[in-house]
Amino acid sequence: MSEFHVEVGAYALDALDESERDAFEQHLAGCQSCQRELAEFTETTARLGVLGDVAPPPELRGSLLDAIRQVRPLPPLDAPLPADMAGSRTDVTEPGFEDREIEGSASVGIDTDGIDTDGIAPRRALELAPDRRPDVAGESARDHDPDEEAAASDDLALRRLNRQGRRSRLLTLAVAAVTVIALAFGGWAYVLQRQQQTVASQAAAANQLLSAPDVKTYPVDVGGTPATFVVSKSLDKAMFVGAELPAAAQGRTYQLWTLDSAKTPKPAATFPGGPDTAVFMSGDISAAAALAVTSEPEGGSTKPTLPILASTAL
Amino acid sequence: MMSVPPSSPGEHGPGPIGSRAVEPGASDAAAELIDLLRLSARGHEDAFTTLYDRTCARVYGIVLRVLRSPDQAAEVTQEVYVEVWRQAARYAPEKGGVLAWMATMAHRRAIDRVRSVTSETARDQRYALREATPAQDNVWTGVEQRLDAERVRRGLSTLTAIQREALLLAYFGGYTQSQVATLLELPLGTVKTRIRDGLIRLRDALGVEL
Repeated sequence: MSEFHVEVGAYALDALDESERDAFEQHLAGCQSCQRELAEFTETTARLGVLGDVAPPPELRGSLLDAIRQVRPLPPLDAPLPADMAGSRTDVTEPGFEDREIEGSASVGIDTDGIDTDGIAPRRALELAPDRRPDVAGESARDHDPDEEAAASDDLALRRLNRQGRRSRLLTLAVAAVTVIALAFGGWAYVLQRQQQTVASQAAAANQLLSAPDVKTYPVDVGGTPATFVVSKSLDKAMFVGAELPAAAQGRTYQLWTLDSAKTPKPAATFPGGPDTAVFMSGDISAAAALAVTSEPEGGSTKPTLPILASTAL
Repeated sequence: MMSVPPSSPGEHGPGPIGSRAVEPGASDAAAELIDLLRLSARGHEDAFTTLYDRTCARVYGIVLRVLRSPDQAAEVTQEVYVEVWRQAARYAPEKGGVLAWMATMAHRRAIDRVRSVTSETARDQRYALREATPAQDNVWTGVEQRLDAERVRRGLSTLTAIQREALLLAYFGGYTQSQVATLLELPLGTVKTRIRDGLIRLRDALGVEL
C-alpha cells in the first residue's frame, strides 16, 4: 500500500491515467495523511493556476446565465461527511444510512415527483445487506412474517394480475423500485416529513394502477433496453417502468413527458435510470395522446431535447 | 484575487524552504467567495454572477491551457460553472477554499476532455511556459493578479528544474505522469517523486496551510 503515497502529487495534478486514478482513489479513501497532503496540494495547484489567468470571451457570461436557469441547485446534504468518506467519489453519502430502517409505518414523506433525483445513485441503495432492507408492503428479506394486511393485498393484486406474467413482474418491480427510492432518500425522509404519503402507500399506488380496470401497458425500446409505460386513463395515472435502463451519464437525467392532442410536451418526471426504474408521471394522463422519454441535462428541461429516446401513442 | 496587505512586499515574500509564510488579507477575498457561493446555493443569480466575475479568469485560464482551443475552453468553462451552480450547497469550507474547489473541478474536466480525444499526436511535444495574458480590468484587478503571479513565480523558483518542469508539464500541459516521464526522459518513479517534492516546496513557498 505504501507505494501509493508517492502518487499523491500526480493525483493532485490529474496526472494519473484512469486505472492509476482508480487505484489511487481506493488507497486515498483509507489514508488520512494522503488526504491531508492532497488538500494542501489542491490549494497549491489552484494558486499555480494564476500563471494562466485569461479573461474568457464576454459572451460566455450571458450564455452561462441562460444555462443555469435550466438547472436547479442541489439541496445541501443533511449530515456532514464522516471523515473516512473524505476521499470517496460518491455524490451522496449519508452516515448511518445503513442503520436507518424505514418501516412501512414510519411517516416518511416521499413524493417521487417532487424529489430531485440528481446525484442519487439507486445502485448504491441496492448494495445494502439483505437484512437491512425495510419492510415495504410485505416485501421483506428477513425471516420474520411480513405485514399481514400488506401481504394480503399484495396477493390479491397479484392474483388479479396474474393473467399476464408481465404485469406481476411489473408489480414486483414497482415495489422493489419504491424500496430503492425509499432507501436512497433515507436522509431526506426527515426533510420531507411534512408530506403524509408513506412508503407503503407508494407501493399501494403502484398496486392501484396495475389493478385499474382500464390499465394498459405500452412496451417501448429505449436504446435497445425494453421498458414499459403503464397507463390508466380512468385513474389519470401512469408509470414508467424499466428493469435495466443504463444510468444517465454524468450531468444528465432521463425525463418523462406527456403530450396532449396538440403534441405539446409537458414535463412529467425525471429519473436517473439504473436498475429497477419505476416512476410515477405527473400531469394530465387522462387527456394525454402520447408519452415520451428523453435524455436531458441534470435538473430536467422545460422542453424536450431531441432525439426522443422512446415514445408511445396512447 | 488575493488582496495585498498594505506593507512592503519583502515582508510577505516566501520564507526559507520549510517555513510557512502566511498572507494576511487573503482571507477577506476568500470569505467573500464563500458568501457568494452560499447565496448561489439558494438560487441568487446576482451572487452567482459576481462569483463568476471574481473567478472566471482562473477557471477559463486553466481550461484554456490544457485544451488549447478557445472554443472548447469556453464550452468546458460553462460546464464547470453550471456544475458550481448545481453543487453550490455541497461545498464544504473545511475541505478548502472556494477557488481551489472550482479550479480542481475545472482542471479535472479539462483533462478528462483532453484524454477522451484519441489523437495525442496532434498536441505539442514541447511545452513552454507562456506569459500569462493579463485579464481585463473589469474582471480582474490587474495589480493583484500580477502580484499573485509574481508570488507564484518566486515560489516556483525555489524548485529544482526537474521539479518545476514536471509540475508544469503535468498541470498546464495536461500530460500523465507516464507521458511526463517520456518527455523528460526519466524513469516513472523519479517523475512521481519530483512531482510530489515540487508540490511540497511550492506549498511551503506559498505558505499554504489548512
